[in-house]
Amino acid sequence: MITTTTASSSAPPILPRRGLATTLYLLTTALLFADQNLLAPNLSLIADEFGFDEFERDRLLGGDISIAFFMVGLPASFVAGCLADVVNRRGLLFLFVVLVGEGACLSTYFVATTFRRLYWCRALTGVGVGGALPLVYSVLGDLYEPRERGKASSAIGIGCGIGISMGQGISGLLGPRYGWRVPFLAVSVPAIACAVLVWMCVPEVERCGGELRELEGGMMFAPVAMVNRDSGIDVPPAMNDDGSDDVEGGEGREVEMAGRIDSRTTLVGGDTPAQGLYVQLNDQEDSLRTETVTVSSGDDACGRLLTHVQTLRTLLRCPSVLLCILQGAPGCIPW
Amino acid sequence: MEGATLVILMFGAGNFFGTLIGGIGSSHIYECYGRRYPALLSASAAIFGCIPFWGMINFNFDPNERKGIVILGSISMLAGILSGITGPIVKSTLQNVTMPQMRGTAFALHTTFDDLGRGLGPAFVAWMIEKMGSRRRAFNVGAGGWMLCGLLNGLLFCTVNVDEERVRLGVAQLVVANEPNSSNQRDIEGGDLL
Repeated sequence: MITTTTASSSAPPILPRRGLATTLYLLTTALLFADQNLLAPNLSLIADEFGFDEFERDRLLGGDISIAFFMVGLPASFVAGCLADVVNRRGLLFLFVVLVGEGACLSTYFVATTFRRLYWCRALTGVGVGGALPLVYSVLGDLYEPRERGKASSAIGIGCGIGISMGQGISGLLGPRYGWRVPFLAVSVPAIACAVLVWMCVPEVERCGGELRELEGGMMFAPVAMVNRDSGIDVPPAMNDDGSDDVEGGEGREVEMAGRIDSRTTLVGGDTPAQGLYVQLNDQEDSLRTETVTVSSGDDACGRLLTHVQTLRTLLRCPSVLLCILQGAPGCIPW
Repeated sequence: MEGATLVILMFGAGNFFGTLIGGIGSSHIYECYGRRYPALLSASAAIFGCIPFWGMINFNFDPNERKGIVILGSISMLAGILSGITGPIVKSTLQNVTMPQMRGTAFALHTTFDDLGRGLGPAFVAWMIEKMGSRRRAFNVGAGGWMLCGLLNGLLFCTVNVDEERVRLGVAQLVVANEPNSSNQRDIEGGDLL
């Protein structure tokens, strides 16, 4: 039996170990990304061991393995991201994802005696790399207020870059001296250790923590008491301590004073990830459909694909989300 | 070979600084000017990042000339800086416009599209090389992807205010819905998910 975790009415205090949590997640992510390029510096060594010529080296080791790495990482990223939204114990989920990915990386040292075994070890390593990022950003979003998330995101980005360079450096340094398999050991063991530390030392991060701290800390407007489906939501203007209107730059004030979203906009919440997914609705038709909210029962929230489809639909109907997602494809072509 | 190594090294170093600038800069702009303006920083960085990138592609590098090495290194560092700014801003914006219970899925989608670009990019450029008959021309067109990326980032300026406000209201509603005397708080039978 589990007790649902609910968003409390007062903001949770800043996690005492927020710095430790961020550092451990950052380290683990950097080590996960370190194993992306472990093969590249030692392709010729590996080709010699497996008896590949130059063409086979480039096609099989350089091409096929890379494709497998990303093809497994992609669905893993999706599954981990969806699970991060419904599972309470994200630290444990993170450990699980890392164990699968880095376990395969570790196995490369022991079992990759043929190309086929190496292929599958690398393919499964993609689970860790692909699955970790959605989890990490989900957790960081609850650790940091909206105005601090830029710094946290840049820390993760820098960690990934350092990890990739570090992995290439470790592989280039250790491979020629001790064999091409040793770098896999050198990178996977610390990654697993860091993930275990995350699970043991970092308390579970409460959802909505970032927004709640901002609500209580800077913006003193009262929470909305009722959802009024007919007339919409009125937000009183934010107030400063001295009673004057709050000014969050020019734009913030404008939004707060306007306060009223379109009258057909309705926001309805399920209370916990386990009970059901929060479905954020955009403008509805005049008929005001009342069955558009999906709050599924707790014990089958994961099993019901429909709720995840609803979440996807809701996300893709949000203009900002759509723009953030779409900008990724053309932006990555030059890379 | 020396030129290629230099380009990659300086680009990587620039990207490091760009990511730092993007994260710190966006937090500062968010606090001082409002939540719409980080989108302008990411958009302009992406669009202007095309210029040094085109410079790198079209620069005729002479390894015997020291001056050429310095110019090429500077251009690639500038390209790296501008390319690194966008990433943290987009990710923090995505966190701000999604409810906490949806962020995992949102980032899964984001990672998917990023990987699509990274995976299909080489294939797309290879196809253009075949069609245009010139690598330089194909790379010049491919670099224009940042132009499109910048435009899409710029459109966030128009949408992010309302979407962030929705999230705040949504969280506020959750707070009210989960008051201690609310009937929503209950124990759930059944095994834990993990």
